[in-house]
Amino acid sequence: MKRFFLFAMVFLVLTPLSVRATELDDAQLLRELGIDASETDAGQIYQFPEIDPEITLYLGSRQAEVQGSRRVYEYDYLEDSIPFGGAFRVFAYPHRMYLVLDALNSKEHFGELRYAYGDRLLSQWIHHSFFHNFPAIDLIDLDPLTTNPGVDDSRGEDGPGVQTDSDRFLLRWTKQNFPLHVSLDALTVYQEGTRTQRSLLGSGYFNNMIRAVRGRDVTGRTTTIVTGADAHLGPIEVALEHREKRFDVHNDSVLFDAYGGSPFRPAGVYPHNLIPELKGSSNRLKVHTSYTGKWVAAASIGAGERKNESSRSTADQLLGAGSLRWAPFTDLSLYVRYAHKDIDADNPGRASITDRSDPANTFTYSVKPPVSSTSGTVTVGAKYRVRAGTVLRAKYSYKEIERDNASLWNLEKNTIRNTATLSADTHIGGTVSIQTRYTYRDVDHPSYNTEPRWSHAGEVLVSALPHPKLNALLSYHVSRQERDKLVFEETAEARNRDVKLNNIVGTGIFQLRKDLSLTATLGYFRHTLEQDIVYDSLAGVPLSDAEVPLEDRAWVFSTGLQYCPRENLRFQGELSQTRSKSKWSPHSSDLLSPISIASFSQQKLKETDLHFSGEYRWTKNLFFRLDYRYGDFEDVLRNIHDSDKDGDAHLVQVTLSRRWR
Amino acid sequence: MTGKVGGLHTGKRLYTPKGRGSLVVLVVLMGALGCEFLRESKPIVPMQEYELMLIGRLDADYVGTDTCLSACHFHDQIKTDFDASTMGAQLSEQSGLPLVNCESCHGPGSLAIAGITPELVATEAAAGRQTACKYDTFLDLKKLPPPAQSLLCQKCHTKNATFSLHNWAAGAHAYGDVSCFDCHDIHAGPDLKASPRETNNLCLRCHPRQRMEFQLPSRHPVLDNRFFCVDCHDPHGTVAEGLLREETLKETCTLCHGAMEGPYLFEHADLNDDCATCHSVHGSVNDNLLKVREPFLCLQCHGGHRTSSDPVTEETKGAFFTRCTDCHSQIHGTDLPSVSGQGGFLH
Repeated sequence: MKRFFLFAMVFLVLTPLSVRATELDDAQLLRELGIDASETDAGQIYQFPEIDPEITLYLGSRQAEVQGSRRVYEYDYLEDSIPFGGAFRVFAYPHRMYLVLDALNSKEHFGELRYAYGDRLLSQWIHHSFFHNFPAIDLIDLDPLTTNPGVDDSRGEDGPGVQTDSDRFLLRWTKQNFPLHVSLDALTVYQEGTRTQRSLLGSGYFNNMIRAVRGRDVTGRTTTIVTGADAHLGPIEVALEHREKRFDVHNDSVLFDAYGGSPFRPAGVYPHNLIPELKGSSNRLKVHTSYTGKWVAAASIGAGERKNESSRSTADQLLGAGSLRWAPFTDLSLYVRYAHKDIDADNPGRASITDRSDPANTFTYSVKPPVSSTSGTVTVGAKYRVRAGTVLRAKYSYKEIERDNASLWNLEKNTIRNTATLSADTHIGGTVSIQTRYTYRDVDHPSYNTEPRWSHAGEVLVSALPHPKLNALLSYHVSRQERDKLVFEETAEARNRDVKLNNIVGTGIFQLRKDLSLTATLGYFRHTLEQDIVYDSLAGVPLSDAEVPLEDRAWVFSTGLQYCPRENLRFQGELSQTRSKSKWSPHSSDLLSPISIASFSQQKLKETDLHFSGEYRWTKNLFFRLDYRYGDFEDVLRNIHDSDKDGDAHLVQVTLSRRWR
Repeated sequence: MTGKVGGLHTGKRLYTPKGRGSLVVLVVLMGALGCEFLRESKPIVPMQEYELMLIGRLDADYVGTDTCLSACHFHDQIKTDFDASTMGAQLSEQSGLPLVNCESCHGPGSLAIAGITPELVATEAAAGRQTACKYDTFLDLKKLPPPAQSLLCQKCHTKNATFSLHNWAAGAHAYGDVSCFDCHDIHAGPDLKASPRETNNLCLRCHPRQRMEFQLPSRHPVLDNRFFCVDCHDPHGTVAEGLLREETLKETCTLCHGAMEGPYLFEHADLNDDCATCHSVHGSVNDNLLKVREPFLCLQCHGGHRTSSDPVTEETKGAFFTRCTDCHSQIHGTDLPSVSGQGGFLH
């Protein structure tokens, strides 16, 4: 911190001294523009206008009726409330203020305040909060008489839910007649509520496995504060940033439970599910040239550190990036980018756990060193405008990752990714636009099984106006990934992995009449995966099951109607439905008997949402609005092993708005 | 991290956080040297062809916003909003000039208002007509190529040290021919910044696949307007792929999900650096934004527990193969050893 402030002081002093002499002040500017200084007395040429303040307020009522699972509206707080809010703006030069506030209920609100003083001070505060109805997680005890494995469900009546409050404050001060800025960007995300906490209790080992679930109160705050300054240094601009980031826990950060004895440790009360406090800081320097030149260059370098306050584990990071764009003539531009990331992770090398009921039972274990890595990515790209409306682009990137301690983690020491992308955009006749893109990636020594050895991806986006009253959009995305060697600790027999992804979305907007328009969207998503998987038999012999298929599929349909029968009356309606299903199918008899392990995780869902709203303007400044929503969440498959349950909800909201100006 | 020079490992650390002093010295030196040579440098050569597109009619004169709009009140609201905006604020009290006026973007307007008098406007207004100006003598901004449209804004917004544009030039939007006009409507009102609530629609009208992902059963609540695209992405350009707001995906996700950032004593190798290894961050068919359902998600890389326990029951299989995270609940990392002293993400 001391270094930062020292540097900031030097930066702020040096920069103005170095360039102030060459900056044009207003008088010089006017002389260059050939404007007579005598005409420039304040008020003669330009006067800030008088603008009356404007206020809008609204008040309403919201009724919520829910049956069954609250996942039907997962991100709504489903209680009755009195929503209120409004907007206020005032422009009394040099002050400009704009405030908007929407309070839907005690847990859902949005606020935005912008204040500016001339062009010297700009500030913005954005607040939004929402409530997340976490899906409950059920643990099924199919045979309560069997104690191992067993289930311990100690959840209360209330379903889990967490409120998230996000506040971002931006402040930017500009020195008069000189482009020197000082800025502050602060973000806090505060979460409070009840989560479902799962734990392995019993002995915590195979000899006595008790899967436990309980509600856990959590309050945590993630804070990121960035302070910075930027200024011109002749033809370049320089910015310096200092960043502080931390995660704080505001309640019990660790749980304690009585564990039974195991071959490794005696019975006792041991800690588990610790939520550590984390903190870190970094400094970044950014430099760039004018954005409007034939050559545009930007570079940044940053160094930071992260620390776990509980275990004293650390991760230092060095990030560097640079880009250079050259536009030799209007139709062609080329760029090269480089990004470097160096992560130096470290830990104390030992971990301890103590029996709270008998501190003499303290067990210390060695911990293997973490993976540190260095990566560098070079990207070159080109864009060529073949003719008006037709553009070709090409991009190639080379990324190399080098890992320390890779062998300890059964990872590849080096991974190299080569990626090439070609794209073409064209406009036909002013009514059709086509965008296409193809990407090929080749990975040498992929370190994780989820990373393909080769992949191909293509994308087409077509938008068309075939008729003045029809606007159509079609998007298709396809991807194929292949792998011919998989890495498992247990066996080298697993080899194959193939992934296919298809996603198509079509949208049509129909202007049926001057006062009536219809929108319809249909989307289809399909993800299939075939991979050899590995498991242990009772005898401890590793076995593999070849080409086990998995499929995720979803249909999304939505349609909307907008109708404005009169200038002061408007209706909107939207109906959407999502159907999804997911399943996988092992082949090995061990995995199918006495029951297929696939049956535990099959899922089939249907979600429907109907939204209708009407707005009527009584007078020029008085508005009435009605909103009605109906949602239905259906667990079609009714698999008891997942936690999906049926639910439906009705939400009705009426508001009355009044505007004064 | 050990250094490598000429292909040989030096065994010395190239970088330590304590070595940041050298970075500071470097920057200060650069700033000091800049005093001498940077201030003497010449203005950067503009992209002349694009700039020529922005000059407007050479036979027209600048007449001033008030002269133009006093004749025709059709644009009064736009003018009022613009005057009230940051760009309409005065350069300084001494200058008497607004920062930007209509002709700064639309070009000189004398030809457009030639022959239009307040009397003519009043007469036509009385007859219920709007007096037409010769709009085609202005710059046809909508038909300019996207880079020229952006240049119109960047003529000032580089001078004004708009650091959100630091990575604009080589960013995905600039290269994808997305211009400032596509997102910013400076005639929409006095508040020129796009509100976060507006940004979702701005982004999703060009990204229909992402819109669909936000309708899948597990999703970030973007379409509910509870969460905004700009919470994760910076459309003005960043060093990261996908225009992520932070340098890495992990840094972006942990702006909100700070508890998962680590570092931990027991890490999930270096997987935690890329949340997208396991999560589809926009939306997914599967719970918790998972790319693949549990237990298959974990079985992609890890062998499953033994399957022929004695006796083999539905319950034993259910315990092992429903959700791995029922037992391995600290899957993002932990500081407590498991019973056997290993990580295991159990404690």
